Amino acid sequence: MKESGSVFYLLRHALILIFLISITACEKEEYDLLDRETAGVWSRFNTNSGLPANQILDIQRDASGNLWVAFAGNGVGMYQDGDWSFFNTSNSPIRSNSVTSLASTSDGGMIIGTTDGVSFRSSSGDWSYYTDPAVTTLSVNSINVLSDGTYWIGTENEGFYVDLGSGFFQVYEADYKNVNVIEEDNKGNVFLGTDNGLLKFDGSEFSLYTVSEGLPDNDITALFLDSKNRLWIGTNGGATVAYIDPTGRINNLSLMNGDLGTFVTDIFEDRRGHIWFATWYDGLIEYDGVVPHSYKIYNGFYENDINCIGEDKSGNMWFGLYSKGLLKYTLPIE
Amino acid sequence: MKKAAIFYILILLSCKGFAQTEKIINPSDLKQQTVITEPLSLNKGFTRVGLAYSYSALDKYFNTNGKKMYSPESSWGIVSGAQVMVQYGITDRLMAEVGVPFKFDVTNYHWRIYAPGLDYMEISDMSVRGGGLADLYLSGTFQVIPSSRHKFSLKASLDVTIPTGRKNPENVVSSYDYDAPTGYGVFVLSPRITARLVHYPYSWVVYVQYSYNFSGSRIIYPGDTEERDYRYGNNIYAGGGVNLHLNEWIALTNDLVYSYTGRGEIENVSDDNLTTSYTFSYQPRIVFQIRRFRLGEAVNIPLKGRLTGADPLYVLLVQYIF
Amino acid sequence: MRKKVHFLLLVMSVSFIVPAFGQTESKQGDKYTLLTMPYINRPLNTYRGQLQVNAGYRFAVRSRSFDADGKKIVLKDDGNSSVLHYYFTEVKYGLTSFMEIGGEFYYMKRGIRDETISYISTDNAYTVNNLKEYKGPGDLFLYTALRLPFEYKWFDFGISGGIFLPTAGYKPDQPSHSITAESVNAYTINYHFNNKNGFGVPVYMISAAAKFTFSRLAFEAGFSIRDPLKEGTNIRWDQELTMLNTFAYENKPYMYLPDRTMLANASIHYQPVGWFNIYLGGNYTTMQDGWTEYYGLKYRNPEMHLFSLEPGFEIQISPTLILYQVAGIPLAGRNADASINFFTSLRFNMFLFRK
Repeated sequence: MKESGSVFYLLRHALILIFLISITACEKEEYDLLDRETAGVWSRFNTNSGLPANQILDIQRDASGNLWVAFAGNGVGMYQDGDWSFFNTSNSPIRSNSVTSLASTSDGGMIIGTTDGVSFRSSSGDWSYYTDPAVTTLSVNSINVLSDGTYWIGTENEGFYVDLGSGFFQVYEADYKNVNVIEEDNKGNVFLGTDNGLLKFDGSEFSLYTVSEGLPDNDITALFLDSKNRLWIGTNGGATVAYIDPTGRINNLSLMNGDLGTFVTDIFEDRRGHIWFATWYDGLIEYDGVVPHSYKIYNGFYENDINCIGEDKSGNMWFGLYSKGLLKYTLPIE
Repeated sequence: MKKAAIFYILILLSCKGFAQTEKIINPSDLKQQTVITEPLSLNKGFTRVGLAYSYSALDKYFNTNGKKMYSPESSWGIVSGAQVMVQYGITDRLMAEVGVPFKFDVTNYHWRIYAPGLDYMEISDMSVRGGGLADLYLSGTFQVIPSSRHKFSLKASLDVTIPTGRKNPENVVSSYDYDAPTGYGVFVLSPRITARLVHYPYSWVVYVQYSYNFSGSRIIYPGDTEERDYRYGNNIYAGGGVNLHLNEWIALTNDLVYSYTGRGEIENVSDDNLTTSYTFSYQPRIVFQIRRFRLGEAVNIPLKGRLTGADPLYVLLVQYIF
Repeated sequence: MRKKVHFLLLVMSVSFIVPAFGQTESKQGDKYTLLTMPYINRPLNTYRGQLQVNAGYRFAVRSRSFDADGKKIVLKDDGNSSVLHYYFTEVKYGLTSFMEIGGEFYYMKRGIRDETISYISTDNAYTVNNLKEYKGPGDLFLYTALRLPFEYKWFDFGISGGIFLPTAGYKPDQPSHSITAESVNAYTINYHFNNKNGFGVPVYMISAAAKFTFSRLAFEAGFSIRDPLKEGTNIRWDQELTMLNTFAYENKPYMYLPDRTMLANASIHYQPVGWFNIYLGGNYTTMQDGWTEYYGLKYRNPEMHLFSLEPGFEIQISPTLILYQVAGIPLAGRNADASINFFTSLRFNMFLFRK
């Protein structure tokens, strides 16, 4: 009888323990989960899928998370929640359909550079524009909105323009009249990539980097500041790419594409910290921190000429091809 | 495979079991019986046949510094083999044995090559296959101090390995794609001494063997076209163990073994590819005797080494005595 | 999940109410009889006062796997095969004739290789090998098991509940990559990631089993569920090759939820003599509902299913020692390793206080 009494005593406690475990087991949050099959996937959009052109010149994300794409000779498109809205001269006050570059402002607006001036679109859809009456054509190569909110615009043949808040003014120097790309580093220095070297403005004076200082070439075509505060430098024809590390030293990296020279059109960093190089003739090159990986026609890629790189709010990479449309790449997982 | 052959022999000769008479197997009955240890060689007229299967993966190795490393490349290799052996008791103290081994080794290699500057990509799948008849061995064993009369016994053995296996690489496509040799290509002479002390339910055993490799000629590397003179380094194999009789028909043995191979020569010059190596291993075995059948499971676990494999070698053994 | 647990509780309650015919209040025989009880006559739990210590080793060769469609892939063709070494220890004690407590602990190591890739250009060449090693102890598992409070004659039913405590390391150690210059501007890079085996979060497990004996045969079936109690945070290592040809490492945290695991097994045992039992079992495992975060996005873990056949045997070597061996032969599955494995364990039994 003694054993029977202790039997039920122990049974009761064991049942309570199991019941408690079952209740606490269900206290986990619910999330929207993605399937693994969606990772590492390439998707291509072109005129067959409704895009106005197959040549993409720039890709930018605005402060609201929408993706903006510049279509050669066909204005811009805004990709919002899976739907496209296209803006061209026939349906908007955009300055020109020949859009060359894009930049986003912190208030959700977009700055759209064209071969004939700059258009501004606010987050509420209001348009305005700027062009310099003193020049024949203001052909924009690049736009950058600095951390202090100032606008810098690089042009073809007209140097660069700066708006400190009270209107644009031009900075022209004959040797550096083509400003291809503009980037700001973490210390507020502004770098301007020109056909004749890399200019650095520290707030008071300019300094110059050329091949003499270790650059792979003087024709600077791409700049990007990564999360480790390294300023990556792409050129037209350099045998390597370069980066200026936080100590100010110039380092060179071979992209292992075998060419004597590479034309780098854009540089971008993804969420994993991999650096992507868009090139002409040498395809897309992904540097994972150790080895560069090439994406070219020979190993199944779409095209060897890539114009630009961007990223959407979900971390997916977008690549603008020279003639084959727009590519979306979901980052792969292990 | 040579190591495996030695291993098989030791399994046969160091495990404990019954004398060669039929018994009713019942643990509680057996516990009542007096232990009868098996002699170190078969009684006159008795014949034992056996089949052993061994398996080991090529996953890790001991490098030149003795550190255990993973094989880093995307390759996968197994070393496996089967061996048929026949033992015959010529007299109560003299036994002859012959072993016929077969190898089923294979190593698969896989890699991808990108040369973007040349727009070139290649996926390579290759394998090195070592399948077929290996080197036969003949063995003679004599009980110097017979075990039938003494708790301490001593036996001397002499093994002769005959190069019946394939000695040269064949069907060579590349250095990663060919049929590997299955044999040593030379005669090997291996004298051995084994001593055993029985004190039920334990027994202790120590042994030492020296293998002398004769010179020969063979194609050393897959890319070679002509045979070259060579001699593998000689080997010393020594060990000892404590064996526990779990009951009259199951024995659990534990051996610690040291094996050292000296430097070899190619065309009378010491070669870096035939440098010295050693292994220190632990070998547990469990052997069941069911009537006239003997079933054994063993594993050779490398504990320390240099320029040898670091993966365990698993052996299954079955024997029958007539 | 709640429904499944309550269903189990209901089944358990009913099984206690239904009388097991021919079975009486448990009696304990002498120590020798209990220690040498044939498998088919043994209850699901240990006897009152019985201490059982198991030590085992599993060896598995991962040369094949099942893909998401259930197709078998030969891993050795891609050089991705690997071996697994698993060392296992379990201690059980019978508190009463129907209740036991126990704990399990394991240590596992394996190295999984990835494809070797060579990158060649006119200026330099790199060959990259990738190895992911999983080495270390698993979490400590503590459990309580209950069975019917009757002497086992021909039917038994038991339930158990336990928890894996996150005692083992689960965050991976810093990688130990290396780079070797093979010749001028030609390098071999060996990636070596050092992962661990712990869950990192508490995981509970509940299970139920039933056993029937008829003549020399016994049939056993069981079901268990293992579920994490909460999400966890782990780290992922990134590496970079510096200009000095050394590796610099950085880790980033990510969230995860281990899968829920459900196991079902059934086996038939044949006892030709009292000391030898041979059996054939089938085991079905499924893992699902876990997720892992990558770069701010949460991805569902692949759903895993595996059905294996498990022939095995048990030999009573001595009154206190039992040898147990079983082979696992995978027959079908999805997103699972198709590893043939061999498990050997020695079970030591004794009665601590019984004379």
